[in-house]
This record gives sequence, C-alpha cells and structure tokens, in this order.
Amino acid sequence: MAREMDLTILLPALALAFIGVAMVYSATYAKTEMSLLFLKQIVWISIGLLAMLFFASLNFQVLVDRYSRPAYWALIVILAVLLAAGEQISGSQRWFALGPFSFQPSEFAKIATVLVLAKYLANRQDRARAWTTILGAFLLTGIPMVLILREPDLGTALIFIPLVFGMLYAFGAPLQRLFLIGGAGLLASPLIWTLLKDYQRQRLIVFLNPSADRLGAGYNIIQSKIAIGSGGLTGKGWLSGTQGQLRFVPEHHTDFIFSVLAEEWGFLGVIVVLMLFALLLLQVLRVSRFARDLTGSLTAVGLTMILFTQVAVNLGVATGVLPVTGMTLPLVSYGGSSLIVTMSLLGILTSIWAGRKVK
Amino acid sequence: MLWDQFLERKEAQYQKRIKVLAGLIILALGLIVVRLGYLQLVEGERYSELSARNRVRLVPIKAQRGLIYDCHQELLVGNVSSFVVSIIPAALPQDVDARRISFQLLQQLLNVDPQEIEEKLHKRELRYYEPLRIKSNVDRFTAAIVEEHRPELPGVVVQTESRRSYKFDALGFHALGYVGEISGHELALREGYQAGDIIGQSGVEKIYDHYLKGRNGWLHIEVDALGREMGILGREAPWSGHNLVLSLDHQLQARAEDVLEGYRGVILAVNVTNGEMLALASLPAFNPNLFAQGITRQAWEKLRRNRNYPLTNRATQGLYPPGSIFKVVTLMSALEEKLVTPQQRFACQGVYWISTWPYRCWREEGHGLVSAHRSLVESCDIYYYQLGLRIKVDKLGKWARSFGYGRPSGIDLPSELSGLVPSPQWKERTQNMPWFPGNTVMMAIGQGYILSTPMQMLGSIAAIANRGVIYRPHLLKEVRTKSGRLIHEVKPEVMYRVHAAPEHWDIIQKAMVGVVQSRRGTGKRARIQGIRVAGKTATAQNPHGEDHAAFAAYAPAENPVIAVLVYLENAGGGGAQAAPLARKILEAYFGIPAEENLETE
Repeated sequence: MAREMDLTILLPALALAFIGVAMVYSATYAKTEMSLLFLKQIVWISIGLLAMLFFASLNFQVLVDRYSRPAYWALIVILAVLLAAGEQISGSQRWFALGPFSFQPSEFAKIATVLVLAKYLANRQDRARAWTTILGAFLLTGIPMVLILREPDLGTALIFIPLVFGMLYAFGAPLQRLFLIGGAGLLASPLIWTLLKDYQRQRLIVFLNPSADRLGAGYNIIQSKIAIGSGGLTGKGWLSGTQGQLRFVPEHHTDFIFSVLAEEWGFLGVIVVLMLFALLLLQVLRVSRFARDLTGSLTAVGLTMILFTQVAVNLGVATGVLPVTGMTLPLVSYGGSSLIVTMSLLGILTSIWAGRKVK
Repeated sequence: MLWDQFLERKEAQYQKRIKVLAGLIILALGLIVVRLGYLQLVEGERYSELSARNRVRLVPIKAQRGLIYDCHQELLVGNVSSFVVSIIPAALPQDVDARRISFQLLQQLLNVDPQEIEEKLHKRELRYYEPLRIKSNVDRFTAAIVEEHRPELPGVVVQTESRRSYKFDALGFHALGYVGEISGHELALREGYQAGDIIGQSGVEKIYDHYLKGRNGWLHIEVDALGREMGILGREAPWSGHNLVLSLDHQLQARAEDVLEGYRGVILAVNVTNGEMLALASLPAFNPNLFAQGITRQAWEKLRRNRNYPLTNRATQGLYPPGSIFKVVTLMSALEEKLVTPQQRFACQGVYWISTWPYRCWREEGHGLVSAHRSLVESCDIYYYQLGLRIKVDKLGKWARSFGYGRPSGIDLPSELSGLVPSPQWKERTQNMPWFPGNTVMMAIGQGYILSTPMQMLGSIAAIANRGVIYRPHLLKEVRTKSGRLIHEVKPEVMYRVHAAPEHWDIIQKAMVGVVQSRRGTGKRARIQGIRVAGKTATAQNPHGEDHAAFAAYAPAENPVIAVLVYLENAGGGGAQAAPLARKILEAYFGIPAEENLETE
C-alpha cells in the first residue's frame, strides 16, 4: 500500500488540513463560549481520510468505466429535481439531505464531470482537432454547469470553465479554436448576467466599487483586507487576531478563513501555506504525466484544475482582487462536504498514481 | 495501446502543455504572493491602524470641572450629579408595536418625541450596543420614575453625569459667568477640547477655563463588529480641573446685589491696597443654573434680545459718561499743568456764557466764589468749565489716560471694553468735524464724548486713594489642585502710577473727604459711623432719559483699604440715589450696623 500512496500528495494535504483545524479553532474561539467546531472538523478530516483511502484502493479503470456515467447522470437528475423543488420553496437549494447527512450534489458533480469528460475525450483522441469533439466536451460540461448556476451557486458553476478548458488544452485541442470559444463565451456573458440572481449581480457591482456598499457586501472585502494587511510580516499570533476574533471578518471560519490565517500568522505564515498548496497542486498535476492511459491523465488534469481554481479564487476574493463568490479554501475551510469531496478527489488521483506504468 | 500510440505521436506536445498548466499555477500563486506582500508589508501599517480603530471604542471619562470659592472658602460654584436617559438599540424590543408602546411611555415620562428617537436610531446604524442618549438633565424624581418602569422599558438605561451648579443661583453672575457645551466653532478654534466638552462661556468660567476644565480620561473598550463590549483594554484616568479661590466676598457681593435690586446698574468694590475685587455686581443678571441645565434656543434668543441686556456685564462692557467723577482728573491736570492754583477762585452765578452758548451749573442759583477745594465738595460745574477753557484737550486726554480712562482696567474678565477718551483727531476721523473749545469744556465735567466703563471710574478713584499707585484689579486669588496644593497665587501688580505733586494729592483727597463729611458736601449720605469716607458724586446726563446716578468712594479716608463705585442707569441724582447705596456697602464691609438717622439727616 505504501508504494501506492504518494506521500508527496498526502503529507501537504494533511498539513493543510491540520492548519485548517488550528484556524477553525482560532476563528471560532471566544472567551465566553466554547466552540466545538474544530472537533467536528477533525471528525470530517477523519471521514475524508477514509473516503480518500476508499477511492485510492478502488481500481481507477473500474471507476471510470462502470460508475462515472451513471454517477454523472444521476447527479444531473438530482440537480434538476432540486432546482425544480427549490423554485417552489424559493431561494437557494444547494443541499441534499440523505438521512442525517446532507451534502451538496454540485460538489460531486464536478468530479463526475471530470471523469466523464476524460473518458469521452480519450475515446476521441484520433479526432482531437474536430469541432464535434470540442463542442461535445462543452455540452457535457455545460449541462451540470447551467443547473448549478441556476441553483444558484455562481462559484461552483464557474469552476467548470477552467476545468473544461484545461482538459481540452492538455488533450491537444487546437488553441485558436479554444480562443474562439472563449471569445464567444465572453460575448455571451451578458446572457449569463440575465441568468444571475439579484444578489449575485450586487456582488459583482460591489466588487467593481467596494465603497458602493460599505456596510453590506462591500464590508466583507474591506474587513478581509484589513485583517490580512494588519497581519504584517509576522502576524498578531494565534488566537490574537482581532479582526477574526471580534467577527469583523464575516464567514471567518469558512470562506474567509485565509484572512484569519493571514492576520494571525502574517506574511511568513501565508508563504508557508501557499508553498504547501503549490507543492500539492504540482504533485497532483504530475500524476497526469505518469498515468497508465489518457483517461487517467486527463482526469488528473481536470481534478487539478478544480483544486487550483478553488484555491486561486478563494485567495483572490480574500485579498480583494476577485468578487465575492462564496468559495471555500480546499482542506483549510471549515465544512464536511468540501473536505470529503476534496479528499475523495485526492484519493482518485492516488488511485491513478498507483496504477501508473512502472518503467 | 491507444495511449502508447498517442504518446508516440504527441509526447512532446502533451508534456509541454502540462508544463504550461504547471506554469500557470505557479504564476497565479506568485501573483497572490505579490498581492499579499503589498497588503501585509507595504500597506501593513495602515491596515494595522484600521484594525485597531475597528476594535477599540474610546469612551471619554469627563474630568470633574474645578470648583470656585470666595475669599472665605465659601463654595460658589460646584458640580452635582444629573441623570441621563439612554437606550441601547440592541436591547430594544424587535417587535414594532412593542417598541412603539415603550416609546410612547418614554414620551409621557420624559417628553421626548418618539419620532426623534427613531431618527437617532436610524442614524446610528451598526453600533447596536452603544448607549444612545435621548434625554439629558433629568431630575432625580423623573429618573426614579423611569427606573420604576424599567420592566416595561427594555433597553432603556439611566446613567449619571456631572453638571455645573451655582450655589447662589444668579449671585455674582457677571463675575462667575456660565458654562455650556463647546460649539463647533470653538472646537475648531481651540486646542485640547473635544466635542461635548463643557466650556466656560463668560466670566471667570471662561477666562480661567484652562485651569477649571481638567483633562478627560479615556476608557479603551474592546468591541466586536456589532459594537458589543468584549472587555476593557485600558483606562486613562481623568485629571480633575483646578479649584479657584476668588477675592470676591460672597456676603459683600450678596449685599451689593441686594441694594442694587430694582436698578439697572453696577456696584463695585475693590481692595485698593492690592487690587482684589471684593464685589462685582451688575444687574440685571441671570441664573446660570438654567444654562447648565440646557436652555432652549427660543429662551436663549429671548435673553439675548432683552432690552435690559442681562447678559452684558456692565462693569466692563457698559459705556457711560463718568460725569462729575471725572472732575478729580480735570482738577489734577489743571493743578499739575499749573493752569490754576489751589487758592484761585472762580465766580459761579449758575450760568456761564461761552460766546453765545450758555453753560449751566447744576445749582441754578450758583456757588459764588469757588476755590479748588469747594469746587469738588460742591461739584461746581462752572469752575470746571473755566478749567476746560484753559487746558488743552491733548493735556486733559493725557491725564485721563494716566488715570486709566480709555484703556481696559486689566481685570481678569473676558471682552472688556476700553471706553473712549476723545481727541480732535478722533472727532475729525469719525465725525468729520473740528474740535470746538466747547467740547473740552464738556469733557472737563465728564460729559460730552468721553465714555468709560464703571471699572475705569473705580480705577481712577483707587488712584486717588493710593496717591497714584494703581494695582491691577483681579478676581482670582489662588489656584489650587483638587487636593489643595497651591499652584498659582495672584500677587498684587502695580499696573501704572500717576505722577503728581504730593500737595496736589492732598488737595484732592481733602476735597473728597469734604464731599462726604462736610455739611455742604454732595455725598454726605455716604457717611458711616466711626470711619471717615472720601467720595465723589456724579449725575451724568445721557441721551437715554433720566440722569445716571453715580457715586465713587474710598475709606477710611486716612488709610484707604476699600474703594466702591455705584453707577445706576437713569436713576437720578448721584448724591441722592447712589451715595446711600455706597454707604450700605461700606457699612457691610466695615461691619457697622446701619443707622437710619444718618440717611434722614
């Protein structure tokens, strides 16, 4: 088993997860009331590790060939049902309750889409340059993406875009065709604007001009920047960040946990965390070069793009260079769904790595 | 296998594209590092400050304002607790109806408009846990009632704060002054003050505000994003203001205001040996406690427009003709300039003609042949008309200034006026007319253009009493810390000296004693038992109606310690109206029981 488990993936992931526990403890720490969220986070990590082990021990070929398509279509049905039900209940309906557990089908839809897409492209590798191949890939991605966008979950929906472009690029699709589609997408973006809910539009407006809503949506960005900036070089120390502790930073244990981290651990601390992320991302991307076949290789690319986009967007939001989208920081943010999905994803990558050709 | 064929064909391109993706990842993370470096290293200090400002709420702890005592350590001005009713927005009922009911109850108890409360709440926005003041200066009784209704008034709190209290209400109003909340204008102009500070608006309260105000302390409260108090980070203790000990004698002051009751005018008393003011009464006055409790805008406007000018300190801001009190200056200047000898006599027939203009003496039948001594004792106008014709106006003006006319007396009160010693240049400049000899003649009896404040008249009499030595008049004696340590003591300060021959001082002093003590003196109603008084009456004509009645005195005549000035607007003759009032002050000062028979003599 040790040979199969790639420690250069597991160790940075575990390090980030435990930094996350420390930050969740600090973010929810209060002198008056004891918060047990960090203990729950440890439980989620344990479950996540089990999920990772499960997917790592699963034969990747079996997973792709047998389960990926049924899972993909099942998730699309669930998303569509949720959307229809959600319309009646009004508001956002991202959660799917399964007994005592509830999970976000959109999180799993990303992975299923990567697997299905990898399989689809691998089957058409002799027609890599064909328009039909490229458009088919966009269709496979577009169905879950639009459903998730209508949920509405702008952040998760946007992940599908780098995912499909990254995979097509690695696959060898002609660059000019990708650019053409990208350009067409940009031209069609006013159409996306009409699909957005009011609060999503508001977030985009506020992003362009934070002072337009100093106490509302703009408040998040301003307070997050104050938290990060006030951390300085060495930070205010663990449990001593006033922006996070006194709740000036909103959603400080989930979407904005990085702000708490930057405030308490300073520039030196965030460099360490960013290096861990860089190591993790480059390691999972490396899997694509050693995969037994093209399906595995493209899967590795797609999964890397998911992780990378989440990290980049979350940090971009926290530092005020991207609009608030409501995306968690993989492995670090509090939340069972996000942790289990991320660690499952790492399990699949480990499985691909384990099945590599030994030269 | 397909994969192998694929790799054979495309190995190079595939590996390259994976590397490009890796480069993309490194580039993105690198950009984030740059951004973080900018936020944390370049802008770090600014954000640190912002985060500190976020979490720390500075609540001022108001310094206790210094107390004011009279010369007998009698407390004149102190502080009392007053009640403030505030609401804590977060603790108000969320339900609209419940809130309306509780606001209606507040309206009944405190007479505050619910609409106003809502507006204040609306302005407050985020800081839900900070008390919001809705009514200040609530009396103890009302505060108790509000406390009783607390169960029906969730979110309402009653707190105490310090308020200025004037123990004897309007007593000494124009000397002590009053206080009020600092205005935006003053805030911009003066350093060391904060919005909401109480500041002296007039009198001693204003001129010694720097001693009285102390320094506010601060409570550093840590708050969360909702303004909820999380703990106290630090406390800077306030420094109490210093206490003032005044030279005023509150009993003499009370006597002065008592006898002045019903007049518009001034009674001043000064210790001529050191310049300490013993009484400074100017009526009408106002009860400064009403300012401290907060005065409405309408009441304030009404007060300001009152035609009796209760807010004007007549002692330093009232401009009057000095009348016959000025004759001592005219006589001294004529003697010193050698225009007249003490023995030289002028005839008074009741009227004196200068070309075609008749100048009348107050005594229609005339005084006959009048010497220097008699001219003062009986206040013969025609004697002084003659002097006025002989003396040059510049010389008379010079002597007037040397006796303190035309410049502030130097008393420690704000906004003192200088009065006017007229000159030909002044007349040409302001009236575009030449100076006529008749102008000098009128000036010689303290009428015409000359204007002076009562403090100046008092100063000129003190100069006679001291044979030319004038001490700066002052109200402040000592400044002491709250614990009683002396930090400043006002020493007698010789402001100026009038240089004149001793025999001339003798003549004038003797004549002033004659004014009171001789049978024909105009000021004999100021006589008191056992002590010889020197004085000078004045009955000043003015354009506002009946004559102003004035009397200036010092006593004991042989060894003067006190000078008194009484000036009554439109009250009639100085000897008849003002001199008896001066007598009462002198009796009170020397502790002599009043004897009615002296008045009826």
